[in-house]
Amino acid sequence: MSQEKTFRINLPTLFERVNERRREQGLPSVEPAIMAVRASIKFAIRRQKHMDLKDEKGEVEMDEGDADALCQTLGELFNVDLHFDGPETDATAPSAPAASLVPPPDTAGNGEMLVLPLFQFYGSINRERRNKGLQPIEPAVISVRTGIKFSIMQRRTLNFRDNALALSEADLRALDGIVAQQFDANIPGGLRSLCRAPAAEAPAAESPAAPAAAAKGFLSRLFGRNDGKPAQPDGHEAPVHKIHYSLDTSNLLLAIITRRAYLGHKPITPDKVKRRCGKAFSAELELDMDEEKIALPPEQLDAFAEIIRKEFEIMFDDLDDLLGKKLNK
Amino acid sequence: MKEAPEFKHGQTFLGGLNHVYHCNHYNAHLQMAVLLAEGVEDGFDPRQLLRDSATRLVQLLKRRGYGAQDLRDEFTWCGFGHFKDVTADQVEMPGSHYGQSTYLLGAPEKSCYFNAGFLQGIADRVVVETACRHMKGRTDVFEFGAPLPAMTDPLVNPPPFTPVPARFDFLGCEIKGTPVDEAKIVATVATLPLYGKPPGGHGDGLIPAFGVVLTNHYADYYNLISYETYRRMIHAGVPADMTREAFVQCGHVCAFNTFGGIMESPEFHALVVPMCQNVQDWVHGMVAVINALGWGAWRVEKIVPGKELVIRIYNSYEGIGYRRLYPAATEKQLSFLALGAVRGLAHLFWKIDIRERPGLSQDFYFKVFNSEQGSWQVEQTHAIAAGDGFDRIVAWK
Repeated sequence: MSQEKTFRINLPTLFERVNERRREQGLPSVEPAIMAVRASIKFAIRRQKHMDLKDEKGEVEMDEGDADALCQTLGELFNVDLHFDGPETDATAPSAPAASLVPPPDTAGNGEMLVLPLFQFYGSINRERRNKGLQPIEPAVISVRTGIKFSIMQRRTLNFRDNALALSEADLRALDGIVAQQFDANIPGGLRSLCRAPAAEAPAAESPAAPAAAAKGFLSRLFGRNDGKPAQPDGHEAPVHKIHYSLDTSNLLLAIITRRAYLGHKPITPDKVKRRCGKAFSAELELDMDEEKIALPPEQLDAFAEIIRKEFEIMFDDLDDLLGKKLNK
Repeated sequence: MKEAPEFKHGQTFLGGLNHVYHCNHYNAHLQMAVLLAEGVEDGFDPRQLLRDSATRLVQLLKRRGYGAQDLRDEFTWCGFGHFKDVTADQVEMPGSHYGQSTYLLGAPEKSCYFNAGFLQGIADRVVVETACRHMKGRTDVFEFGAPLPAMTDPLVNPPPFTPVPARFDFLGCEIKGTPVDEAKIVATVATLPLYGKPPGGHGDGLIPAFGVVLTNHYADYYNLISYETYRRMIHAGVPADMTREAFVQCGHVCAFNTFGGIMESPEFHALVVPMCQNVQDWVHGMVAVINALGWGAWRVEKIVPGKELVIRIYNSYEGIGYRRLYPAATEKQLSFLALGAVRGLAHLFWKIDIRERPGLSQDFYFKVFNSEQGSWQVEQTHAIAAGDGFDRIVAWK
């Protein structure tokens, strides 16, 4: 009997996670529909199989290998670091980046090039700066300053417009020094810990001998603690926890007004916000803004966010914070 | 003060040297851009460049008749802070623009290079900063060492000033007019107390205004440190676009903080906003204020709201300054501050809407103003540095 776990993944939630990470790095959000199409194509190439990420139900089921491949695909396509860290990390998951992403030390010591994803580079610098109580630095500034210093030190130019850089051990040591000097940040384990081997991703994920730790990627941890639950070893599907979002309507109005002000949009009165919300939500989602609270099932989340975006030209930094997540077992 | 400021050619002169207002954010980022050049070539030390560029200008002023007290007075008036003698060989700075108001993104270091260089010029001795607020010092402390030989005058060429056309009265201008009264704005800004007061005048030698801390800096200092660094980086093989961008970003930061701070200020809303009927008028209003900063004479050539902004600068401090230092350049994209400032100006109106006073913070700069989303492109089509009659900056989306 196969011991491989399968996951049911809520796509709107996953895509919102990707956009959260992008916004953390100062990057614009990506339309979920665009994300789904691009990820489907890239995933099909990588795994040689079709996965409909535009599934109308908003959920897909996949094994751990596919889940990690999807995680890597989204990471590469949309410049996000999908590794969890900090206190939310599953206790059983490795605290370091997934083992499949980091070659053994002796491999890289033989002159082999390693791949440094730049979204992780920027994210790690700013994570370390925040930990020290320092202001984050825009990726545009980091890339220019690092690019110049690297050119001077290594007499070679890196293209920071790419999504990732191929680097030697010596390059990585130079970059570690640059990051410490220019941005007052020391990445734990060095930048090498953020790297992956150039061709290791697919074989490592597909190999039946791949260590369990390698399969414990972002999705395993995300859906292990959220609404996706692995199937039981006997093949029976585990009970699925559904998230319903309970949203206080007056909090929503306040959040919209505040966010618009933050972005410099012209002020709209609370009454007008309420009227526009009521009209749009009732037509598309059958939600009543006259109620004290409204409840949103997961499949309505992206439509909800899209209405707010179109109607008020805003996107929330963290929808979960706004919505007060409630788990109904 | 040895002499009163003189206004001509769109520039402001003290002791024959052009002075330009810039904020602590610009000064911090420009210094960091210069420090990037460490290791660019054997024998070149960017810290020494930052120090010695100030020394050379001070020595030039001394040759023009400035005494030590004149220099100290001007230092304070320009907003750099003030000196306090501790011993014959030691000076500290209870008020210090570079020590108190600038910052580093990198590892902390003693970084009041301009102050040290200025003191070197006054004393003709080597000056070392021995304590610094950036290193958690109580004040910035400087010690005098060995005698320092005279340095060469950096300004080897005459300034190629050109006549400045009236607003909207030049070939290629697509603006018909505006109710914004530039002359009134420039005259009013000139009356603002934008100078550092000495301790005797109940000041600390700093110029806090519009939410930033200003200096009325030596334009030739900026040009010396910027262009020396840029040329060495290019010579060493650092890609030009990357190098340029490091300096252009300084102007972009400056626009956000200084232009943004000015346009959110009560003074701007009292004086300029009542003249404005639309966003184009706001652009003219801000450009009028810029024309009081000593940066040269800015002229708006074209505004297509949300799409394109074209600015000409006659006698720009960067273009004129470049030609005072070097022969005419073969490239055009050399007015780094202007490139960043015009892009920033466009962002202030059409990436965010500064008219709504969104509130300016570093977090806002990170998440919105300097994010890729909605960013404008910018290019310099004409350059005084390259022999043209004016700088022309085009920003578009």
